[in-house]
Amino acid sequence: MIEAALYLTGRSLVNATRRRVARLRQPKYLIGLVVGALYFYWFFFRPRRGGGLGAVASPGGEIVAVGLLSTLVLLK
Amino acid sequence: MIEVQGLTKSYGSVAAVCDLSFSVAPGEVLGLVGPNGAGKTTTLRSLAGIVRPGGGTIRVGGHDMERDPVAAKCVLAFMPDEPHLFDYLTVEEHLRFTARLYQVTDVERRLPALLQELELSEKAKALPGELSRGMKQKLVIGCGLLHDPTALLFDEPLTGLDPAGIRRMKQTIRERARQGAAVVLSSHLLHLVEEICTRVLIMHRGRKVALGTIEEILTERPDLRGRSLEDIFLTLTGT
Repeated sequence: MIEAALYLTGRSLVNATRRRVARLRQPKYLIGLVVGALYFYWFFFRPRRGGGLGAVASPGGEIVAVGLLSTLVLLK
Repeated sequence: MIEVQGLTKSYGSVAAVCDLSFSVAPGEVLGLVGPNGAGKTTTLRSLAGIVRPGGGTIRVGGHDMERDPVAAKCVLAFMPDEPHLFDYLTVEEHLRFTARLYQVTDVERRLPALLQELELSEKAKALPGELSRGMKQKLVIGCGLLHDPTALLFDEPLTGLDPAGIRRMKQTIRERARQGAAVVLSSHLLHLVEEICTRVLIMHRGRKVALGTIEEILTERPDLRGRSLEDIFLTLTGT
């Protein structure tokens, strides 16, 4: 029974991932991925003045981040 | 062998099935017919162990569904009218998954022949979203037959099948019965019931109104002699 459940979970995960990767051939999904990746980079990993994760982004940066997020939501 | 004794099931204040008793011997095909709301699907779901009856006993292959549900379910297959499949398992993965559930060891050897029999060889790698309704129905039936069950429950088995699929399905049901399976088939298609069922159970408002071969039913109701099953059905159910 456990073997069957693991098989179901494993294969479903593989097929769902394949399906989502295959969808990236369509521009709207590819653009969504790029914008999403940029958003995460901007939010979590971009170099900040004053250093540290707790540093407050400039208002202009927040506007760009919100704009990118909105675009991502609209494209999904 | 399927044995049902005093089956009762209510949904709130509505009695779906009332004190229903019947048995299906190996090799028999019992046709379950009745108007909408007669309790056919509730009966089949109770037999399959999906619905817990309010009263009565159900034995499948000698196993009590209440006391030993796993053993009872190991020898039966229920093919519902609406095929429910996993969104992200391919056709052949559905069969492999079912084989693992029922511990069928020779699935790799049987898979090509089974896919060919189901006419799904070209769709072996396809996900359910890429299949037609008839193909999904065939896959459900393939999964159901994989572990060679001795009790088969079909709810509207011909829905969505093309003419070739219908012929093949009828052959499959007959063949399984010939091999010793006890079959219960629920359908509104009375000509199908007349053609392949050895006995008929007519239900109306959760109760049994007739049970037996058409000849036996006519013996009890000689006024209906010479009339079709459709006429008999309409007269007995008053619809």
